[in-house]
Amino acid sequence: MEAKTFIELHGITKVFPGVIALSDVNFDIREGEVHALCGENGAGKSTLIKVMTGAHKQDGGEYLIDGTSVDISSTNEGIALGVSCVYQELSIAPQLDVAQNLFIGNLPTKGGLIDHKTLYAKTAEILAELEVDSSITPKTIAGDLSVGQQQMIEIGRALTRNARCIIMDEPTSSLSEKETDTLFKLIKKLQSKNIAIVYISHKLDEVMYLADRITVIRDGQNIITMNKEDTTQDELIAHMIGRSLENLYQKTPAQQGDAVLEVHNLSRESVFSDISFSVNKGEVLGFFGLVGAGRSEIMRAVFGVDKYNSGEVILDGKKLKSGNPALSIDSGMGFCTEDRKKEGLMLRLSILLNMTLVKLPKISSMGVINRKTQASLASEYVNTISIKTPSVNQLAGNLSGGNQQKVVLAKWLMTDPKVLIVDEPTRGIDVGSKSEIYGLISELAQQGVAVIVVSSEIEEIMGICDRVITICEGKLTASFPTKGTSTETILAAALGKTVAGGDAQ
Amino acid sequence: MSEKKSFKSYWSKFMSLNGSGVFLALVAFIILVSILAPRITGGQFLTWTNIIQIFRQQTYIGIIACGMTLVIITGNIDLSVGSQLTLLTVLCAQMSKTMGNLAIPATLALGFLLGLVNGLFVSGLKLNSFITTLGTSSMYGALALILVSGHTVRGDSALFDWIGSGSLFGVLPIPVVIMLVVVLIFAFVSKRTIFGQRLYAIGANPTAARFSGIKSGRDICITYILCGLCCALAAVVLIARSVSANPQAAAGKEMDIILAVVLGGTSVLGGKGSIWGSVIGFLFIGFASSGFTFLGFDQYIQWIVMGVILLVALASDVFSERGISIWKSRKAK
Repeated sequence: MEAKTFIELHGITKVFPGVIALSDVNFDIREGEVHALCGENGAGKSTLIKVMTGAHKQDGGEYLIDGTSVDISSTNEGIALGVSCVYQELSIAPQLDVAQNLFIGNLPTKGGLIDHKTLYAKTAEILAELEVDSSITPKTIAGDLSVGQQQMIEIGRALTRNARCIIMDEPTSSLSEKETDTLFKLIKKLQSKNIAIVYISHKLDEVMYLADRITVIRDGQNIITMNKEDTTQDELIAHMIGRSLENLYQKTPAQQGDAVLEVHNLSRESVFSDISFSVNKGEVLGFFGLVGAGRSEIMRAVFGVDKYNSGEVILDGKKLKSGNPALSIDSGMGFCTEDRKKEGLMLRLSILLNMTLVKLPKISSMGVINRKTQASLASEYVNTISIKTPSVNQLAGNLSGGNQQKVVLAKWLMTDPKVLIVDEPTRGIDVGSKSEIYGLISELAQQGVAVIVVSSEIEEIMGICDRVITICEGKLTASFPTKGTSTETILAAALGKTVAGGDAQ
Repeated sequence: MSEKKSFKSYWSKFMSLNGSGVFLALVAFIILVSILAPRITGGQFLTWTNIIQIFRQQTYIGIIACGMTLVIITGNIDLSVGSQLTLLTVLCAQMSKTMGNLAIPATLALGFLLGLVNGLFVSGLKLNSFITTLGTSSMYGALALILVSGHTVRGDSALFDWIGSGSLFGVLPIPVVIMLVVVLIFAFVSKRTIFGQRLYAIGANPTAARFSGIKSGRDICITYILCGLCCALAAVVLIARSVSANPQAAAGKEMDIILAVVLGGTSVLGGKGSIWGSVIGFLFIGFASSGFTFLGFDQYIQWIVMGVILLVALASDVFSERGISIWKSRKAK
């Protein structure tokens, strides 16, 4: 018996300035099914979810619920029609108790006041339905719950709103294995109550385990919708990657030297464990893993901004200290962070100061900055790496994303680093700047700098790195030379599958 | 044509400087009072005697505003300066009875200490600077009252007389000279030294500063110490002027000081500001309070006007930030 179709999206198109996020996408959800939505970062999954929840209005196409065309223009309207979403970043109010969190924005009232009796009684019912741990009562403070339990509360919140479809965006990215199992049980239970689940995850084994149907989108377009029985994980990966590498990546092989950075058995409790690797002079080493795998966290610890519990980081024979980025910088390490606006730049300060901030001690005497040297140094870098700005006195916040990224790069290039870590160097950057940044990385390697590239874009890793290390759930899973290794193999290793040919370190 | 254009570019450059708006307001205010005062109270506002008088009375605000500017640039605040000033004035007067001129270096050492206490709480324990200095303010103020049981103390030192009545080249009173020296030093430190530029970085984005290897705790602590030292210098100037130390004379002065800094274009959000801006803010406050007197405004009305000015300055600061971000997001679309 074919289940009844709940939501139907026909030919959805969504355009952002300069980008077609979704183009003629079809998607449908049947009652009581788990429908997985797969695609690479930037494929358009988030936009599609936002159209479904009402956070975005589609520019073209039709949205049908129960066969009737609807016009949803806010998430509240979506919720009223039975579409709820549990986002990757939970929206729990940690100071409030479980009951208040469950009914937040929807508290039962009596004569204008909160009806606490009904609130707690209803909460008890829902907690029983969710089969949560008996230690959780309606009056437990939400902040005391584990992430997994908080997620249960979020799902419970969808139930209080009589959701017929719950969208889960990367629900297991911060859950332990046990919590994941509990979540899966709950999903099966919700299914039996005829509630549909849209499941979005990078973890393909989960997708293969849970889903009834799988839809793959790429570059904002439908690739395929298939029944789980009719496909394999490898086929799924092939659909997700699809295209071949373009000429975006220009790389001239560099002469490699001795190991300059060595990391031994680095561990940080419940974030990553037992990470060991080394990088050679002139090598471009890729760090690949899915979002939340712990790549950035490892780099932050190596650089010293985050503390680690055990292990050691040795740069050019010198042992670095946990939690001391100043020492790492003095020893010759640079770090272009993932989030340039939050961690890389002072948007309200001049390009000049942003660029020379780390270099200042070298262009000063007795603590007084030599302003001529400072200005000429900045202009020199503006010219060599072609940062488009009328003047170095402009505020960094006035630059485009690509140029901002170049300012951050320049900041570190000026320090003549031995090791440069670049975390998601091309996120949110236009293609032109992208290829310039790749060129710059290649050039650095030529000059003997060891470059570590952290990325969640597999093409980027394949295009510019000599070697790639895969990370899955805080553990180093394999290390491959990029030449002669297939994208599928690397992706599989990053998903935690054991692969032949991978040289686990 | 080209002449017009260059005027325009000079104008926009001037307007982009910290405190330029307040500077224009100040000029307008001075002109207005000069015209109105003779008709209302019969006083002549813009005379050399009156200007020197304004400086003489307000220098302590200018001196402390220098230290405060550095604290605010890092995104913090020091609400305890009024109480620090009171406590240091009282201590300085007391010490001068037995130690004579040595009371002055001793006061500076104590100012260093009071600033250090604030700095350690804020940077060491990472406490919110607003609350912390509100707490220390209460402590310092009470200590001053206890020390002298609420009475006024007379200072006794030959140096006080020299500072109080001496002048450079017979025109510039010594307190004004002291203030100018402090201003020059602080302006140089903030704009030309690594330490000063680091303060801007810390205030503009503490996280990014950390990723750039800046140890912000140490730098923030130093700004509080400098602020304490400024209070000590101001205390010496204050005693020299009035010979005696009243444990309540400087109560509430932190508001005037913060007002001077904020009017001068230093952002309470951190990362933006300048010593020269604070000097303009200081001038504005000095001329405004004197000008209101010339116009016959009562003291309490002056306080209300000052409060309104502070609120407007704060709001325009925050709104200009928001305005920029809104404008940018629109542009991005």
